[in-house]
Amino acid sequence: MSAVPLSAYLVVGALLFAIGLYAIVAQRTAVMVLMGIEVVLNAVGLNMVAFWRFLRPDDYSAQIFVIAIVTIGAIEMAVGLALMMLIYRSQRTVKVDDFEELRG
Amino acid sequence: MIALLVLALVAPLAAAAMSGVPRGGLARASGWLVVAACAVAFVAIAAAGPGVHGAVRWLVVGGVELTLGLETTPLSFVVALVVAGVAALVIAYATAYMREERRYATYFVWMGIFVGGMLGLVLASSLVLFVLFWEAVGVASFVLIGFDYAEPRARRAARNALLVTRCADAGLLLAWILAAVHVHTTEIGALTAAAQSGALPATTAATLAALLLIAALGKSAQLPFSIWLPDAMVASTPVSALLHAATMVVAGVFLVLRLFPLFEAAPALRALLAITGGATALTAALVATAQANFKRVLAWSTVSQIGEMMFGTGLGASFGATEHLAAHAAFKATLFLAAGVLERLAATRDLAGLQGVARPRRWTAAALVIGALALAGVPPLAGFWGEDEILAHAAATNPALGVLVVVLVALGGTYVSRAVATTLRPPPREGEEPLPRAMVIPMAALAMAALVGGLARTPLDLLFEATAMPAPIGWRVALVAAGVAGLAWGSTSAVLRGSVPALGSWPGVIERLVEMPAFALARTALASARIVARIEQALDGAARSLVAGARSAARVVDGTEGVLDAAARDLAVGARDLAALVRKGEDRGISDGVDAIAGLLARGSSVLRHAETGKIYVYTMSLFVWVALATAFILVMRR
Amino acid sequence: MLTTAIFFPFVASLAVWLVPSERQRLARRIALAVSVIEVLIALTLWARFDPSGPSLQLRNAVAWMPSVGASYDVALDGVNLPLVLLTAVLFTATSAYTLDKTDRAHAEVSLFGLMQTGLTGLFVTQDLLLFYLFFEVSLVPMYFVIGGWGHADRRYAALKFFLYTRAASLAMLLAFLGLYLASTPHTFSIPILAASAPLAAGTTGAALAVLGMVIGFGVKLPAFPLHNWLADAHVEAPTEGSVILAGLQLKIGAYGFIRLLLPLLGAEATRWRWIFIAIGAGSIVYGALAALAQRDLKRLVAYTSISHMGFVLLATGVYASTSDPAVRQLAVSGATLQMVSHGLLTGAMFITVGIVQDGTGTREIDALGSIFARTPALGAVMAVLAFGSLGLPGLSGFVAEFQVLGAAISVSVAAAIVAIVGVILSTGVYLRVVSDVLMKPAREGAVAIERPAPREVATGAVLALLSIVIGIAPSWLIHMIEPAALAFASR
Repeated sequence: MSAVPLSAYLVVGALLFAIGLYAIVAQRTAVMVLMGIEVVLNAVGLNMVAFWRFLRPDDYSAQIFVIAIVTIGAIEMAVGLALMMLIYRSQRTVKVDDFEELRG
Repeated sequence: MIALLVLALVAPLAAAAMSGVPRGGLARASGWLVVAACAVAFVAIAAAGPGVHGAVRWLVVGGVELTLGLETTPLSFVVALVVAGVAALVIAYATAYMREERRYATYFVWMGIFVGGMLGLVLASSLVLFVLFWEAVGVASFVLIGFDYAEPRARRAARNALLVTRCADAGLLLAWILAAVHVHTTEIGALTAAAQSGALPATTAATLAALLLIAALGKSAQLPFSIWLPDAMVASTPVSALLHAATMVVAGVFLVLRLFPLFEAAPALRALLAITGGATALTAALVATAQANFKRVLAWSTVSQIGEMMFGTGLGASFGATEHLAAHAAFKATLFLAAGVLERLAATRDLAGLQGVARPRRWTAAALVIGALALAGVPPLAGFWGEDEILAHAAATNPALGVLVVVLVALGGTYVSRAVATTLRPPPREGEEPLPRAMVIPMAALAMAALVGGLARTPLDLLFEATAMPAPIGWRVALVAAGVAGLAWGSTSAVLRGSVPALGSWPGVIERLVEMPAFALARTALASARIVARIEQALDGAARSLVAGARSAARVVDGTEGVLDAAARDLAVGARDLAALVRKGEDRGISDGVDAIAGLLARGSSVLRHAETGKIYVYTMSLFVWVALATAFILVMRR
Repeated sequence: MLTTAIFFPFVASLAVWLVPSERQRLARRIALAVSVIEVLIALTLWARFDPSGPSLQLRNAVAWMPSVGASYDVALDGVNLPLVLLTAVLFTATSAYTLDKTDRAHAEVSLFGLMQTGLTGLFVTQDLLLFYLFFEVSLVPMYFVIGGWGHADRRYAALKFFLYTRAASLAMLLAFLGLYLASTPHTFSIPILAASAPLAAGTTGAALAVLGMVIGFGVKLPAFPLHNWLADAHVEAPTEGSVILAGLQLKIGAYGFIRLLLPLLGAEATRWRWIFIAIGAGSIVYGALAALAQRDLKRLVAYTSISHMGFVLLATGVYASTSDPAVRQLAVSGATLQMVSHGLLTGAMFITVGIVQDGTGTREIDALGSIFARTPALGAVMAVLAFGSLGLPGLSGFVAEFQVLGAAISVSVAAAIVAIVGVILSTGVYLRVVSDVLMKPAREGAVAIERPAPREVATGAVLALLSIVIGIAPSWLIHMIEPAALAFASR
């Protein structure tokens, strides 16, 4: 049985990225947008790990990168959720379409 | 053995504490509780006997050992018995005398504290305890004199008493520290031994003696500190009898007698002791003859008698002084208690108002007469023996001093008989109800002591191992004669002329002279205080003027700022005119052209604004689109 | 452990901010709990302290700014341990006293926590820069306390207090910098400076350093003529502020003289000895005289502080005048005990004066009176405190004063006589208090003192009781101080 090639990982990563992107752009509720962001971040992480494993197994800076991504993702999730809560409290809606404060 | 002494000390204090606690009915028993404690103390001391000593180390610091201890030297044994005995009798008297007092229990609490403190002072073997109890009896005296604290005279008398004695106490405070530093311990026995053996340098001994003399003079109301005692007569009679006749005021003499080896090591101070004692005795005796108030007569008499004791001690008659101390306690307390009875009957202390009051009262009259005879030194009553010894030493030193003693006895007879005879003078004042037994019995007991106290001479002789030096027969006769003559003069004067001063009113001037140094001192202190207050105000004023100065400096700076401001304003006006000129030039060409460009930009921006939809997904989408385009661009460029 | 003791009060007092601003009583209770815990911590420190051990114990030394030569260095010895205990006790007293005060409690509690941290740190620090830091930390909050919670003329008093303190701290800092620059290598560490004595006696540098310290500590002591801030600050400060001001902040100056001036500049101090003795003995008399002339009760008590603290300056002078270890030991031991005794007695005195002021609305002695008649418990406590401040045997003042006088007598009998005169004058002062405030009937129409809260009277009574305990059985305290005093003496 041959090993899974690098391209497979990259394709999966690309797919995840696309799904996440779609979620960010097309979802109506703010929480789902945040989920989409998470998926995008994971896709990037998957890419990094794949590159590391296949191209540069000795150089572990990729692992550090992934840990950083995960940490930052967690932080951003916390902040984002808090923001959502506050926006909900003042606007009484979670639909992304209704967040029009930035309109020029 | 030492336990008995501790018991003697603790009993009155415990009684005081117990008296302070209960309310209501039990409070009435507080007086008898303290009396019982005094009796217990008397028995305990008698049982312990002389020669007991027990001390513990309290703390050691800087090479000095501070001890706490009790002991009975022959001197302290006798004085302690006198204190306990007289206290028991006087306080028994007080249980009836103070019946009307609202704060009955508190009175006896402080009486108990006083007796405990006095016994502690007498029995202390350690300078630390001595100083502690010396201060404690001072505080107790303060409270008891000022017991009726709503009365301003009482407050003032109490304050003056403590203040004057505390000024003199400076001597004691310095002396004990100096002694402790030199002898490295606070045991009095060690100090006296060092003085006797010559281990103490002469200057130190002299300094110590001088300081102790000052303290003794203050506590015993000798010149120049006499002022507080007559004023303290505003206190109740039991207080006057106990504190200011029999016990506390003799603390000064006791101090001198206890630490006499220091005086022996410093002959100059010994002479000074005799001189001040003698001078005080004479002055006070003269002043006593001119007093209009029975208790004040007794007060000045006390000052005089103590002066005699100091005088005698200075001349070497320590034994005689001690005898006289005990005798004086007996007869003076008798006279005071009788005075209290009279005050009860006539509601006054003035001699003018007391005329004939004692006449119908057998016991009181007897007590007064016995007290007077004892004071005048009529043998074989108690007062004679001490005077005799003092006379012997005085005459042996210098005949003039012997004459002085004789004169003192004469004066003593005069003033006491004047006072007593006034109260016995006909016509008699009819009295009302009989006196309570609690008042009569102690008075009678003390009179009895004054009457037969001379019998105690022989055992005392043995105790002190002193050879009594009787005066030559000629002097003795002169003494007795002087006493009798004084009695005769005083009583004649009283009977014939009433309560007029026996020797004229010029002694009153002396009284004023005596008061002056104390007043001067007080005035100096107050003046210094006022000066200091003035300094403080000045410093405060300096601080405030510093602030004011800072503010005016700030104002000056402000003014400078104003000038600078004006200059800047002129500059600004000039610049503005220049600017207006330039603007006119600009208006034509430059501004119109700029306006056109601005209009173009404005129109462009309103077109672009349509992209600002406010929708998040639009922004996200455009973000990713741009990223994708940029990535593509980079990839293309790389090829 | 020591670091905990230092920083716990402030950090823990921040907990009150978790309490909503309406629940002020709760904030006060938290403050009381914090101070009680601090007392327990202080007692643990005492238990861990070994009097027969080395002179500096429980040391915590961490390099703070090594390039500058400053370190975070704190340690206990026999002289500062009693002061640490005193600090804990007095702050507990003020917390207990102010339990019912509901005026911006959160802010006041935090300020007091900060002061407690500053004071505790100051007493145990072994580094000059840290000393300066804690000096500021303990004094600046008092400005806010006086200005924010004080009486009528508080702004003037607070400003005066602040300006005097600023000048003092600057002079002190200059002296410290002088020592720092003179040492090789440059260091702020007190033990090292004491051992190496960088400024030799007789040089201008040494004289200026001594002058700086004398000004700095003399303002705080306070010694005449730098004392003028004290009366106004005390009178206008709220009761709890006065207790800390008199009970602890004056000890900063006293502690500075004993613990910093003598070890660091001992040789130069010997040339200044007569100035110390003269000003010390003079302050004893001056303070008593000034108190005698006062008509305001709180001002009177404030001036007596000058008198009591004069003993410490006298002890400093005596120490510098002799090399006899016994005399030196008496001087240091007496000075330390006087610090503790004065803290207890005068702190309690201010509490009782505060009760009187709150109850009658006045501090004028002419208007006050009938304290014994109406509130005998309060009267008894005040009487005990008055007699204790006189130096009556049986209370702590006696033990302290006789030690200082015993040392002084060996050096200068004249100074001892002057000091005794001061003691006698203070008798007049306190007798006036007892007679005219406690005994005399109050003026017609004056507000009668209502029943004071038992808790408040009890606070004063507990402090008086501690003084009595020290007065009757001082061995344990002297035992605590002795080894440090001996270490001093043998230098």
